[in-house]
Order: sequence, then structure tokens, then C-alpha cells
Amino acid sequence: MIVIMMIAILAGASAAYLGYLPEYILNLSGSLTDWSLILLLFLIGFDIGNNKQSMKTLMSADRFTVLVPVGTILGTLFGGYVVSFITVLAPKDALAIASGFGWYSFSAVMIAQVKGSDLGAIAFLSNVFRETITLLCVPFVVKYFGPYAAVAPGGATTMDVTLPVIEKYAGKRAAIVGFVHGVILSALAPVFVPLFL
Amino acid sequence: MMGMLLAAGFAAKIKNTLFNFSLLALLFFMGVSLGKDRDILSKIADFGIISGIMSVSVVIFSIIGVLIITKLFKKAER
Repeated sequence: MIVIMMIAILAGASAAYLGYLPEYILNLSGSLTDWSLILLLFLIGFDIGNNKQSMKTLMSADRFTVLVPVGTILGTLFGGYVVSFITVLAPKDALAIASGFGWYSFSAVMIAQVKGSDLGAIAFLSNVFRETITLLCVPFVVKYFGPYAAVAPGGATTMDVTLPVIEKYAGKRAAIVGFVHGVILSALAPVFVPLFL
Repeated sequence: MMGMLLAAGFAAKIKNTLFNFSLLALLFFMGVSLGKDRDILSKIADFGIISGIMSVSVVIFSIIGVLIITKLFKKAER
């Protein structure tokens, strides 16, 4: 899916840059984006409400399933804030990008809609990089910092893409924590991102 | 709310199709907005560097955050 998503961005950028798109599509792009975003947010709410198994797992889990997401959220936001001192990003923009928690599709479109496509592109890339770094670093994090620390880098992706790697290297217990961690962060990303925009 | 009320199966299929369509449409138009900017080519390297710094920073600090909070909780338990 990530390849198709990248192709969608590149196709849009190339078509507009090379002048292949008719003027009326360029003019309509704002309202088309608004309606697509409303539909996407509705479907995200639908998905969260429909995921009964996640809710059951969430209710039956132990204390680490609450502690690990809290640590991840605090650490991620602090990490985003630190970046505003190193780069040209404003603190609120850096916090908005960080609070995508690795959910590149959602955070990128949300940020692009409010703050412009430049910041949206940075949000997309940084959250894609976060997922990639997670897939690569989980074995090392488990070895040096323990199984629960290995859940943190994945952010919202620990309920799907990065879950198999966590289960393989950190074990089943960490995988359950990781799954709930992903559900909590996926539910909180739509709350946190607009908070900083 | 609707997600809790509607049954899986057919509704899930429609939902997945709509989700993928709206997501790809949004990303396409985000690309259109990027492509409209004539300076986009000179900005791409900056985007990559900032994104790289951001991703490394959030990964490192999220690990530190979890380590601190789990250690604090274990200490408080003793």
C-alpha cells in the first residue's frame, strides 16, 4: 500500500508540475481535498468503533499496556519539540508532525490541509521513516533496552505493520502490549494532530 | 458509533474501498499542491533532512520515555 500511496503523491506532483492537469481540476483540488478528508475522518471513527476485539484486549490487558503508550506519547512529543530547536520547524508544527505517531497517511493529509503541502510532505516522510527505522531497530532495542522499549518506536503502527517484528524479537507478551499500544495511539493521533495545528 | 452498530462483512468491504479511495485522492491532491510550487525541486532535499532528523529524534525519545516510565513504576511498586 505504501508504494501505491507514494505513487499517488508523485503522480499528483508530476502532473501539476508539468502542467498536465486542466485548470478546473487545480481550482477544484481544495474542495475535493476537504470532502475526501471528511470521508476519511468518518471512516477512521467507523473503524475504531467497529474494532470490538481491540476493545476487549484493551480492557483485559495489564498495567504495561497503559504505561508503555504513556511513555511513547511523552517521549514522542518531547522528541518532536527538540527537533524545533535543530531545524526551521516551529515548535507547534514539529509537535503536530510528531503526534502523527507514525500514522503517515492520516497525519500527512491532515497537516497538509491546515498548514500547507510542504509541512504535509515532511509529516508523510518523517512518519514513513519512523516506520522503517522501527522495522530495522526492533532487534537491537530488544537486546539492549528490553521488550517493552521495543514497542515505543513503532507508535501507531504497532497494531499492524510492525507487530510481526515485535512478536518475533520481543515475544508474545510484548506483542499484546504492542497491539494495544497501536490501538491507543491510533485513536489518539486524530486528537493530538489537530491540537497542535 | 456507526461502526459499533453496523455488522462486519459487506459494510467492511464498502468501508475499505471508500477508505482507500479517499486516502489516495487526498495524497494525490497533496501531490498536486506540491507540484504547483515551482520551487519544489529545490525544497525536496530539505524535506528529507528535516524528516530524517524528526524520525530519529522521536524514535530515540520514545524509547527513553518508555524506559523512564516503566522504571519509575517499578520503583514505586517496591
